[in-house]
Amino acid sequence: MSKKLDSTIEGVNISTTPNFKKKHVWTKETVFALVVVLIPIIGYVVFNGFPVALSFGLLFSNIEGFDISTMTWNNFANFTTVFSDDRFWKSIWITLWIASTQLVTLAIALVISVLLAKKPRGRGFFQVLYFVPYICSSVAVAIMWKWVFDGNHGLLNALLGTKIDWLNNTDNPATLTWAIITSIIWQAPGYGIVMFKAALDAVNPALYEASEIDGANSFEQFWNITIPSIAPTTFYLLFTGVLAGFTTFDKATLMAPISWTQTAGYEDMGLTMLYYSYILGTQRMEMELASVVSWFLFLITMTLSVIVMKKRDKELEY
Amino acid sequence: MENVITNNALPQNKRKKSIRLGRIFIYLTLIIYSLFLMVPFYTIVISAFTDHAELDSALKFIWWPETFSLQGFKNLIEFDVMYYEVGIPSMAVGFINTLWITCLPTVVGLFVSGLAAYVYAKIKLPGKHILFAIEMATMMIPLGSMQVVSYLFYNSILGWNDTPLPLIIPGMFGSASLIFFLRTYFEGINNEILEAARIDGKSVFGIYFSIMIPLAIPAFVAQFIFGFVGGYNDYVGPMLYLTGNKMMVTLQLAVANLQNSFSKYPETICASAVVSMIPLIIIYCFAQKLFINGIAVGGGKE
Repeated sequence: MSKKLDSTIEGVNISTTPNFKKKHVWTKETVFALVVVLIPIIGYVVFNGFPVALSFGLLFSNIEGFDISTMTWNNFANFTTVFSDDRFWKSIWITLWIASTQLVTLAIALVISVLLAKKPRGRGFFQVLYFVPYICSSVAVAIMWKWVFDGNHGLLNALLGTKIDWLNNTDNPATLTWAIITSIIWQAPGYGIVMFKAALDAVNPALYEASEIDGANSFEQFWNITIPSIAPTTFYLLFTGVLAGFTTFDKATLMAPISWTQTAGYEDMGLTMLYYSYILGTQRMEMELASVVSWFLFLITMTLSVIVMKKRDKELEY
Repeated sequence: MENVITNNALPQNKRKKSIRLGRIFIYLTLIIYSLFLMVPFYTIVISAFTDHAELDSALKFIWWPETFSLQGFKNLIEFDVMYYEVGIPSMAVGFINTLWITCLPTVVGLFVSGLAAYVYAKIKLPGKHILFAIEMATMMIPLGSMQVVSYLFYNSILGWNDTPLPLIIPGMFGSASLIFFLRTYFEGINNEILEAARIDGKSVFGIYFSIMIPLAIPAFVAQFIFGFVGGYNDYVGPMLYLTGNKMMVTLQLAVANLQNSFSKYPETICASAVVSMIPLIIIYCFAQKLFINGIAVGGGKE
């Protein structure tokens, strides 16, 4: 690195001489600039491109353990194995379930930020408070909510007067998934509140004044002015939220820790797609099957991403 | 005449009343939401200070313990496996590891991304628009789904398993979102200052170091916070790559592991969660604006 730097410092004299030719001259400066912009691209190719390419190759291969020299072509056997696996479909179902509750997160963020935009006293305090969960780690959040949902000492049982082991509920295993969702909904709105605040602050106040003169009530104002103005933010938050929902992993492994039978919590109710990929890949050492699950998930998230890009391009056209 | 006045006064009264009701509704909602956010914190904090015997024999949640105890916190040191083996509790080892494993890629990544952003914003380079388009296109590919299967690449091709390298090296190459954000910031910097520095004979690197970075400190700080919080709280990365290397545990990994070793001591688990959150919460109390801006800005790739 230091050699490269020295050479560019020497190269300064050349680059500052006026350049009358139309054709670009490759000075040391431009070479340096080129290297500098290539570094991140090279990093991306090596550390994202190669792993993705490798896992793509695995889709159609057999591999023993983690030894890539044993990779052999096996047609589409991995797909048949995964698609006929009940746990795979279960993981899709649970992932969709968790991703869909991102709407709740979005709704909470919207309601809270609209209320904060009415400038109640203590607004600054509330804003600071509402962001606190967002800076907590998944590990701490999981410990917190496991404790609230605990069968013996949990707060929830104390409030409801029940004695239910929510995380290992033999009567209704779904409470485990709900517990994971609760911990996500507890943590996630902080980001949306901040983003909505910026969007709401950017709405032109003249619009509200004009509509007030026209006699619009506050609901009409909200519906006709606020909602359209913050639509791009809402759309962006929905996209990032659903994307995060689809790739839920750390909360699931923490709240539904892998059991000795390699299930994701009681009755596999914490089995998100990424979690299943993890179990298949690192616990069962069947990376080829893990790749199929991960690629399936990737196609879903990529489709979402393409839809968002298309929509943005359309917006730019207008 | 009298009629008119009363007719006028009535709606106004009503309106005032409805405004007041509206205010009450707003505060009620905000306070209920605050409680929803804060009560889980309360449960782990109060349980962390509860005496083990009392907690163990209790059949339900203890709102306020009869005997307060610091044993939960002491256990984190005294009964920690690593404290026995090497004399340092695992949470302390984790904290130190987290600091350097997080700061190194964040700082270097910022520096590298900033340099690229500077070129994109201010330096003439043939084909840079194409390169920038490529760089931005990478941002559109959601690779969250690939974090598990990437393990094979780092483990078998690079042989970086059980080392923190997979968490450090990739970040050092910068990222598209950082470049995008810093480029926007750099574009706002006056060209005349840069021209003057050029005439003084400063190199691209020299200008970046002595002019661009100092002028863009707020942008760098915001992005550093975003990167630091992300790294500090990261669990999946360390879990994938560092579980086999005891001395390389990060804070989150250490806390997660304590859940197994202290499974019969909930007050200790609660204490570990509280302790792990304290550093960020303290910094947050002193620099809320920086935090909120940093994370809003860092997350907002739009």
